Parts: sequence; structure tokens; C-alpha cells
Amino acid sequence: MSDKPKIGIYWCSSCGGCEEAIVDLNEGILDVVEAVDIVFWPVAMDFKYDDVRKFKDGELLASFINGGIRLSEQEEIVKLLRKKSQLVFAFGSCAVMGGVPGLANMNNRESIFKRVYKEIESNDNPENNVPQTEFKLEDKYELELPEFYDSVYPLDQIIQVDYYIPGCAPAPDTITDAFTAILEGKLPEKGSVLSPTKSLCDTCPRKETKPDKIEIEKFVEPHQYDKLDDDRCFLEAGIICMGPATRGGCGERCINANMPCRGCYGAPDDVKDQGLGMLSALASIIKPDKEDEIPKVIETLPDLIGPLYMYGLPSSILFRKKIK
Amino acid sequence: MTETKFEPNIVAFVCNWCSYGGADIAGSMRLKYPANVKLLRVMCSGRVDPEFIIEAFRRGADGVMVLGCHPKDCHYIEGNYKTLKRYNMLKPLLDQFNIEQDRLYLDWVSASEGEKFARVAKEMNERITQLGPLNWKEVIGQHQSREV
Amino acid sequence: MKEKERIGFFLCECSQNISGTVDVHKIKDELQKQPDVVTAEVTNLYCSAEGKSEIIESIRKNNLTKVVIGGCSVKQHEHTFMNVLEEAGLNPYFMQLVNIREHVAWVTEDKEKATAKAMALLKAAYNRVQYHKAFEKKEIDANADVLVVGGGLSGCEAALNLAADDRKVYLVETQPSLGGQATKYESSFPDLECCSCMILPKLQEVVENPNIELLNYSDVEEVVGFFGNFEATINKKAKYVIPDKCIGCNECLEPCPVEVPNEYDDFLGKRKAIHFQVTGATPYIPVIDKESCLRFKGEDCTKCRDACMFEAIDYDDEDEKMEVSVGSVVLATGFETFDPTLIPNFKFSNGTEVYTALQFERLISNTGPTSGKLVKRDGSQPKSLAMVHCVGSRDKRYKNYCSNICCSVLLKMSSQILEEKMVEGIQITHVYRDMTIGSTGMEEMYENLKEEGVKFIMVPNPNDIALNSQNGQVQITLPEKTLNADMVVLAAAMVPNKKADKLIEMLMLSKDEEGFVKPTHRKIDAVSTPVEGVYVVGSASYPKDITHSIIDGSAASGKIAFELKPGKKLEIETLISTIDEDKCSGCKTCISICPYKAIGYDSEKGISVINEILCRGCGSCVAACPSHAITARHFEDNTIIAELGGLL
Repeated sequence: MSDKPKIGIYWCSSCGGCEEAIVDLNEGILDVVEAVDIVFWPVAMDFKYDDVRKFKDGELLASFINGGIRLSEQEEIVKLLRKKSQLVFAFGSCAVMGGVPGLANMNNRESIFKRVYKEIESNDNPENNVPQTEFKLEDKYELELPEFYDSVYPLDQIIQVDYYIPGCAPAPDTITDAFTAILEGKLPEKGSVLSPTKSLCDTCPRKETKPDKIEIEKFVEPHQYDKLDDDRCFLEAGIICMGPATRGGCGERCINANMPCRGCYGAPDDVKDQGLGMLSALASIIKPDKEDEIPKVIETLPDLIGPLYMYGLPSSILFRKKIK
Repeated sequence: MTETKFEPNIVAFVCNWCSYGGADIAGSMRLKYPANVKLLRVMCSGRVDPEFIIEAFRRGADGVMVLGCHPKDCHYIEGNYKTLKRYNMLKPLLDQFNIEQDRLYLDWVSASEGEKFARVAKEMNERITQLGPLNWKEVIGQHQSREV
Repeated sequence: MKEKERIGFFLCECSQNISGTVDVHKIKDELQKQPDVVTAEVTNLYCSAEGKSEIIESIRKNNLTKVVIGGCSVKQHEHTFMNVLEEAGLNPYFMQLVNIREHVAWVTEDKEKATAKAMALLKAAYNRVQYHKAFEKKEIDANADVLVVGGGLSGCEAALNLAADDRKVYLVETQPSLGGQATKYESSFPDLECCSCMILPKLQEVVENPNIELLNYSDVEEVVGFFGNFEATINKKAKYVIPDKCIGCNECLEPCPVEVPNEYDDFLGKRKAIHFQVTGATPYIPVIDKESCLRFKGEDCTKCRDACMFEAIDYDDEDEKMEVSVGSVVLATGFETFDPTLIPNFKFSNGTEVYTALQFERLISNTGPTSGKLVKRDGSQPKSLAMVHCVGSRDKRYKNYCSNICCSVLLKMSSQILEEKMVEGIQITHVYRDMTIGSTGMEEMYENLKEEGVKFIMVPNPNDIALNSQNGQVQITLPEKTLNADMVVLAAAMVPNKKADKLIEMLMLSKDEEGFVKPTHRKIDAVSTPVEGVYVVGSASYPKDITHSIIDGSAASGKIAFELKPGKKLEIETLISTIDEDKCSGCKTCISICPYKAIGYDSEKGISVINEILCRGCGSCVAACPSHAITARHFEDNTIIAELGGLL
């Protein structure tokens, strides 16, 4: 067994994009592999859960866990990894704040199963079968499935998280900087998010032309513009850009592709709720003052959850929709 | 069996220049309103961050009121308009979360409107009593609630 | 490591007003059990001398770090107890006054519930007070200097008086010369006194006064601040002429190849691109009009410079921005004239012999386009002249007020024409509604004119008559007859100067229904405005004659003299908001919403910055900041959330 530090990479409710992001390091992955031993990576390597159980507590230097938690299996394994690792990194928006899967918190198991297994047009399920946690067929089968929780949780609501690497997926620079910090022993204090705290406007290429005063008369979607100058601030054009409420470090990849920020790097330090922060900022710059005109502006924004909570619903104060 | 009557927990954000004064006048006039309504003073209703409102719900408030100056009368010129705009965005958000919109109430009470203050407090109490408790904890789900 | 708090509670019985309903002793016992509560006391009246001493003693004896008082309204006694803390050696912000009288004892029926509510409010204060930080009051010197916007008669009067009071006055005038509309009149009512002779000495005084910095041909671009502390940005437009070198010889005018309508004559006559406002203007400096000069259209015309023997022409001149700090602002932006073509039945095209009263003043003025000769555009003399009063005035469809001076002006013009024998045998007819001539001497003038054959036809509303061109004359259709005149003069309403709109908005002044600036009170305080430190004089607040414009100027300067004494100190708001440089990303959300324009953008650092002198501490920006980079002193997020926690 080599002396190299051991790391584990695990995915929960995720899309695989974070795994892709690690691969996106391109040649950089070779440096990673040289420096550490990856002892657990379900998507890429053939290690089993039992292999992890065999490690001593704290034998892994670090585990990088992506995806939101909504299955009992995920809870079990992340707790296992916590035990076996000195450091746990919440990797990617889903682990950091719940991510896009977190939008499922507008539903619960019952409504999700109803839609996915019973109502959905592409299923033929006349007996309305839904997944069960156990199934016994006498003398033949004793099957188990993980429990499907009502809500999606960010990683830090299930286990203690040491560091957060934000992004959907984290930008190559963010990942490289994080790995370098780990290997050089230059990590900041525990609980830190490994990305600058100042919001995206700080480094946005459109900042120079952003006017001092912005007033919104109606909200528009990017596609409603025939052409949008590539140095024009989205908010000034009435398009919701989560930039002011989202920490930087992503390299403004979306902005440079002429799309507004969606908020995947999460809120700056000290902001408990990214969605509410942006709501307050947006509402405050609505132009009309009259009581009957204000709702008309807000009506041009048919859905609030999508823009405000695309990535952060489980880590918001509200957390989930109240089921009646 | 006697049923314990539901007594709502209501927080009212009041602004230093207008609604706090209105509450004072209600006091001077000895107008009575339910003790469920508890006041939190800010300098201007424009200081009220939507986060405070949601935090109030999370910590057990069944209803939240924000009471500011009448339009055009704001001591700081237009703070109350900011509140109005945020309130107009917060209400549909609450609705999307299945939290009854009526649990959040915005109104204007001037420094001399003692009667209005008492009336608004009473009406809010009635409204929330009808709606019942918010029971935030049940909203969080199976796992323990976030740490305060 | 943070030292432990030592919190003291002082619950006032308020002579039974509180203790009659709220069980303060029960609360006291509960509070004493809380961690960090060193003492919980009850007394009858904490606002009394004994009560206050008790608190001071307790603070000293118990080494209290924070104090919570359960008593009456913040509006009654917050200051009282802040002073108590100061006396005891604690920062006055280390206390919280909880209202358990107006907000609990007096409004709650059930004593148990009242006590529980009081307990919750006090618990909230207990949470809150631990976050309180020390803040010190700050004072700044009030600036005694004054900015006067508008160099007409009211503005000049204010400037001269204030300069005499040994203050520095910045007088900004958008035109090249002073005097405003009054310089357009050759003579004034009721004595036909020579207007220039009357006002020129004043204007000259303004130019020569060492305390007045005359910023002519300039505009105020921005004003921020408040009484005692305004900052204004003034744009000094490029004149392209060096005032110190110009001797006013006029040689530069003739060679100029460009001729445009002269706005000074209400577009009646013509002027060159390089022009003086009018012959005899003060200061007598020409300026080059960028809009018409050939150089700005790409041609290298140097005719005016070639003709100047004093090297006074500078084509490289540029607009210059200037920042001034003053304590008061006087708005003297004057009036414009209502456009009679807005009245549908007044049909006349360019070239018809119909003039506004101001245009006609220029026509009969020695410094005007015809050097004072009363002639039609074709050069011939008019044999008949009609003067229409009330055009656009006193009519809900146009302007629903009387402009005060028009009747007198038209009578004066008639007198001037007859006295100077401008046209032998001219027939003058007035079409009027009411003869509104309030000044002394005007009644006599009116009678004289009637005796001299001037006709006066009364109509219900001059705005309902019709004007038409007909065979080289103007046909005036009255209700009962038709009149034909060679020339018609329309006394159009005086309306607010639209160019002042931006400034009025910046100063946060309100306008009345007709668009004039609203003073504090029309009757008893007509030169002050609700905005402290800003005054309005002259026709900017209501149409006035010369007499009352000058009186306004005197009045405002008098008020400033005693309201803004040099050496006065201003206390600036202590509980302001501040932006954390390390958290601010420069998203500018706060700048968009600050009503006091107290937030600016530092483009070097890429962050927003709050001006601590302008900030009033409303906290709107704090709530809006999506990075939570702004902190509201004494009302920080943590502080409020802690208080909230105690309530629930």
C-alpha cells in the first residue's frame, strides 16, 4: 500500500456533472492521481462499500461528496465516509446547498411517487406499484430498497462538513485551487467555502457599464430580446441575474456565454438565504411606487422559486414547501 | 375535555416615527388589543429584511405584521415603498410554499392613529386564530430542524 | 476573548400605571435567574430624580455593562435614560428601553397575559442588548456659504445681501449675463422708469462684489446633502472667450458668418454664433454658441478670432466642472412664458404680426432687434394695435391662475408707445376680462390711457376669442364684434421655468398643482421650503413683479442670516449604516435605492461607499443588500434576529 494520502469520491442525488468536473481537469487529473490514492469512486472505480468499512476511522485524508441526500442509503454512506475521513468536502451545489434536485422540496415522497409511478404518461403501471423499502417473497426473495425521504438535504444537515466547494459543477479553477490547498496544507478555517465571498458583480465583465441606478419596469427572459449587447448588465435589461447574490470564483462562464448567472456558487458568507437576499434586492429596485402598479411588475415574473432557489432551496430558511 | 384555545404568536415590526407612535397612542387611549401581538421596533419599515419575516415564522410566529408610515409620509422619504415592493414579492413566494399569504400583513399606521393600530392588531389576531398555528416544525420533515 | 456581560434590569412601576397590570416583581424574579443578569430591580418612577440616581448607583456598584429598562415609550424617555447611562460612565447606546406601559399595561385586559407579554419583550431586550455596540456622537461645522441658482433680480438681491453678511455666495446663472427676464423691459410700470437704469447698478454690484463668485453661463448639475452641508457640482459651460481679456468692443460680431434667431428676443431678431446676450448686458462678455458655430460643424472658421485685437477668443476652451460646498441653497430660477399657439383658436403662422408681450417688449426696446422702432416685419408702421390680456391665464384649460403683472405690463406698453410717440395716430385697443392692476399709480395710468383714446373692450374670457390672418391684418373675433389690427400683442401667462425641473427634483422640493415650487406656507412662510436650508424666491414660487421678486430675495437672505450663522455646529446622524469593503462586490443595488443619494461608487476599488454625513440610517439599503455587506448601526441583522428570538 502506498504512502500517498487516500481520498474518496462519492455521489448522492446527483447528475454526474461533478464527476465530469473532476475529469474536466484534463491533464490536471494526472497530477491528482500522482499525489493521492483514490480508494473509493463508484462512478469510475470498482471499490465496494465494504472496502470503505474496512478502513480505520480517519484513515482517509478526505472525502469529496457530491449530490443531495434524499435516500437512506446516501445517508448511511456519507455517515460512513465521515467516520473514515479526516476531512469531508461538500463538492458541488447539490452537496453544498441541495442543488437542482433540491427543487423536489416543493413536493414530497407521496406526490413524487404519484406522478412518477402512477400518473406519468410514459409508464404503464395499472397496479400502481411504487418502490417499497422491503419486499419479501417466501423462501425466495428478501429485497431491500433505500428509503426515499420526503425532502432533499444538503450534506451539512446530515453530517459535519469541513469545507464547501461550490458550483454546478465547480469550475476547473475552483477544483484545482481546492486540491492544491489540501495538498499544501493551506486550507482556511473549517467551515469555509473554498471560493471568494464577494458576489459575482465584483468580477463581472459587465460591471463597467452597469449604471448606478437601475429600475425594473418588467421582468424579461433572455429569449425575449432579439439581441442583447454583450457588455450590458442583465439586471439593467430586466433579466434576473443572480450575480449580486452569488459568490464569485466561477470565472463568469455563464456571463461570457451571454447568459445571466443562475446562482450555482451559492450565497456569500453571512447570507443565510440566497433566495431571500435576491428577492429583497430585486423588489427594492422595482420602478413604480404606486400600490396598484407594483403587483403588475411582479406578475411579469410568473415563478419565483426557479430564479431565486434553483440551487439553494434545501439550504434556505424555508427549506421546503409545507405539505397540507 | 377542555381544549386549550389556540393563541397565536404575532410579531409586529413597527417603525420608530409612525407605527410605534400609533401604538403609543393606542396605549394612551387605553384601547385594548390581544397580548399576542408583540412589537419589534426598527427605525424605518424599509429596514425590514424579508429574512426577518421568514425567520420569525421559523421561530414560531404564526403571523407577522409590518407597519410603516403612510405613502408620502415616510420620515426617510421612501423606505415604506421599499417595504411595499418586498412585501408584494414575498406574498406570492409564501403562497408557493403553501404558507397562507394572510399570515403576512402590511399596513400603514401614522403616529396619531391609535385606533387604527388597535384595530389592525385585533383583526390580525382574529385572522391568524382562524388560520390556525403555522407549526413550522412539521414543515421541515422527518429530520431534525436546522440549528437556530 | 469577550468579557462576560453584566446586565441590569430596571423595571418601573410607573405609579401603578405599569405595576397595576404587569406583575413586575414576578418578572424581576424570573429575570434574576437568567445568566449574566447581575441585578433586577423595581422602583416606582425611574424617570424621577431618585429613580435615575438609583440606576446610576446600581450601574456603578454592580459594574454593569448593559442596562435594560422596562418602562414607558421610547419617545418619552429614551433620551432620559441615555443621559443617565452617560452620567454613569456607560456609552448611551448600551441600554434598551422596553415599552411595557403603552404597549402592554395600558392595552392588555388580562393581567397574566400582560405579564407574559412584558416578559417576552424584556427577554427580547435581554437578547438584543448583548449585541449593542458603543457609538459616539459626531458634530461637523455647518457651512455658512450659500448657493444662489439664478441671476435674475431675486437671485441678485439675495446674493448681495448675503455677501454683505460676509458670506461667500456662489451665484449660478445659465445665461451669459445677469438680470433675468427684467432686462428685457425698456421701462417699468407704473412710472415708466428706465428698467436698465434701475437694475444695472445692482447687477454691476454683483459682478464687482468680492464675496460673490459669479458663475455665469453655468448650470448646477447635482446637489446632494442637507442643511449646513450641501455639495453641488456646477458645470461652467465653455464660453470660448476669455473674460479678463475681452473689453466688449463688439468687433468679433460683424465678421461672424452665422446668423440664427435670437432667443433673447424670443426669437424675434437675429444674432451671430458669437454673441452678447444683449447690448449693455452685465457682465458684458460674448460667448460662442456651440450649436450654430461653424467650427463645431467641422469648418476651420477663425473670423472672430482674427477680428479680436485682444486675443480674447479661445477655441480650446472646455466645459469645466466645479464642486462647491455650501450650507444653504436659494432657488431663483424664474419663469417662462406660456405658448399661445396651444390655444386652438389662436391661429397664426410665423410671419403674422402676433407677438407675445415679452417679444413686444424687445420690439419697443432700444436694445432690441429694431432698436426700439415700432415696425412690422416688413418695416412699415402698424396703424392699429390690439393687446389681449389673460392669454392662457385664469382658465382651467390652460393655466388656472393670474400672472399678476400682465395687465400692468400691457398698460405700460401702451403708455410707452404714446409717450414716446412711436407711431403717429396709432389706435390701441385692449381686449381684457378684468383689469387687475394692483400697484399704486396704475389706476392713474389706466384713466390716462382711456382719455388718450385707447379703447378697452371687455370680454368674458380672452382665451375664447379667435385670431386669424386676413389680408395682411390680424382678424380678432370677439363675442360681439370683429376687430382688425395691424399688430397684436398677447399677454401670455407666466409659467415655471422647465429647465429648473431637474434641480427641483434633486433638492427634493415639491411642486404645487401648477408646477411652481411649494414654499413652506403660502401665507406665513413663503420663501422657505419644507426642505431645510433650501429657499425659493421670485417667480419660481409664483408669478411676481420686480418689486416682490426683490423683496423675496431680501427675505430669503434675512432668513439665512439668522438660520445659518457662521460657526454653527451640526450633529450628524450617529446611527448610520456602513458598508464592509471586504464584502461589497459593487453590485450598486444600494445606490439605486438610497433616497438621500448618500451612497456613491468608488470605481477604483469597485465598491459602493456610504457618505457618513449624508446617511440618515433608514436601513433600506441594509435590507436590500444581497451580500449583507451593509451594517445598520444599532439595528444590525444579528441584533434584530436576537430580539426576535426573545419575542418568540
